[in-house]
Amino acid sequence: MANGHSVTVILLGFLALIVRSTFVSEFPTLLIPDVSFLLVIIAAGYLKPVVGILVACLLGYITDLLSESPAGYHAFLRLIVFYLTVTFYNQFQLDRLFVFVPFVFVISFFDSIGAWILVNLIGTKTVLTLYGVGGMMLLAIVNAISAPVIKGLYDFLASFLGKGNRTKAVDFSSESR
Amino acid sequence: MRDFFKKVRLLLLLVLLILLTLSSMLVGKSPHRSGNENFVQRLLFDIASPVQSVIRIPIRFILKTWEDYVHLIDLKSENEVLKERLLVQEKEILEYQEALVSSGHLQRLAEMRADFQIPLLPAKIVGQDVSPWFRSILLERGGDRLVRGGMPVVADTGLVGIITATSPTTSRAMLILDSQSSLSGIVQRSRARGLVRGTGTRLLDFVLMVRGDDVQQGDVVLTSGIDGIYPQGLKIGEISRVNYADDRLVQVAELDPAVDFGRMEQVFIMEKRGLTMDLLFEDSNGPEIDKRSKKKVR
Repeated sequence: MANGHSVTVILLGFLALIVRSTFVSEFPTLLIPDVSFLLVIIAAGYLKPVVGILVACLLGYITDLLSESPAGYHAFLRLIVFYLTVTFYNQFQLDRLFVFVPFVFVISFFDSIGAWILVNLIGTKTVLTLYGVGGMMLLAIVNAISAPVIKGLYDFLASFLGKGNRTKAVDFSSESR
Repeated sequence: MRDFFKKVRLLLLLVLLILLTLSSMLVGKSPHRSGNENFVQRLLFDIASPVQSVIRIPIRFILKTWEDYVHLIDLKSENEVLKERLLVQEKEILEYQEALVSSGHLQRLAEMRADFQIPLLPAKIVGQDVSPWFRSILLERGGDRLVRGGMPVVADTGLVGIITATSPTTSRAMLILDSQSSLSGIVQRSRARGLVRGTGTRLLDFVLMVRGDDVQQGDVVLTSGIDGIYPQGLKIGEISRVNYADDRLVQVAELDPAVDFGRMEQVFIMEKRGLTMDLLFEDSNGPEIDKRSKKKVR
């Protein structure tokens, strides 16, 4: 069912982007969780690392196509986020909610920091500098608060799709997950 | 060898994808891209637009109900009527002032009016930028209605931005608020020129060309037209604060945009783009649009 999960994550991620784009018209942007970003983290628990990394990259690239950002900007960030999540998945036992929520907060905050470094490196401008650390933290908090809800919804959906490759052991070499 | 490849293939894939994303970032970092969007982008826009239109209906309904019933209904309606009247009068005053200040000659006034006679295509806003770090809007009009990259977007109160990507049914416009946006502006009263830069917040920066130029709080800033992107005389906003800091090489004033971007629902796409944009967006339909515009003007 790994393919089912891949397609589901991509479709849900795309839908999340559309919904977010619509909500941003009415509500402050930093108060709306980045569901597409959260799905990349959640996908780390369901997909094989090789498949997941491609899915994360594709989802990031879709974000770039719909956004004013340079092509590859979000794709790069999503790749790093997925890789870090997969790396720490078993070490931190991210299946447990009280670990998962702080992890989302930390990785969301570092994702914003990474985004800021990246725009400075490539010379594009964004509003990141203006939001500052406070803005980045606010978005990280919003993402962390909504993470259990999104994870719960995906876990519920996963019960229909099957468990995918979800196992306790994370072994990149054999990809037994 | 096979085992070794198995062990490192995730890392290899990661490195390969990182290189790919970095190279595509460096190639396509300009906000004004070619204008010829690829098939995938067109498809995504075409899927997104109708879905957003549907999602917006309940959101708008709930918000409208909230506004109408929780807040004072009569006062709000009356306020809206008065605001509309005020807008019409402000526009008239602006036109008269601009005519008097810029020329004083009827012939030049007539020329200026001719410049403004560009066909306008109304377009509904269906969404905002999907990324929290950028400022753009998605519009319910695209290539089918001859919308092309580089066309200016305006609202009834002033300048909104510029079209940066299109699909047959949808287009994306970068707002003047976006940090990547920059255009040439002129103070209506003193004719002081400057660069209007987006900051990503709800305010703009007005960087004066000459330090110490005559700029005061409340001054109206218009598009100068010399950048070849936007036509001359469109209202950008009003100066809300002037900084006289001595430690800066340039003098920067704070500009309050004329358009309320938070409440904007409909905009107008100017169906003719500037000369600079014609050079940047080299698509085959450029001349067709120009012909169509001229036809409508007549």
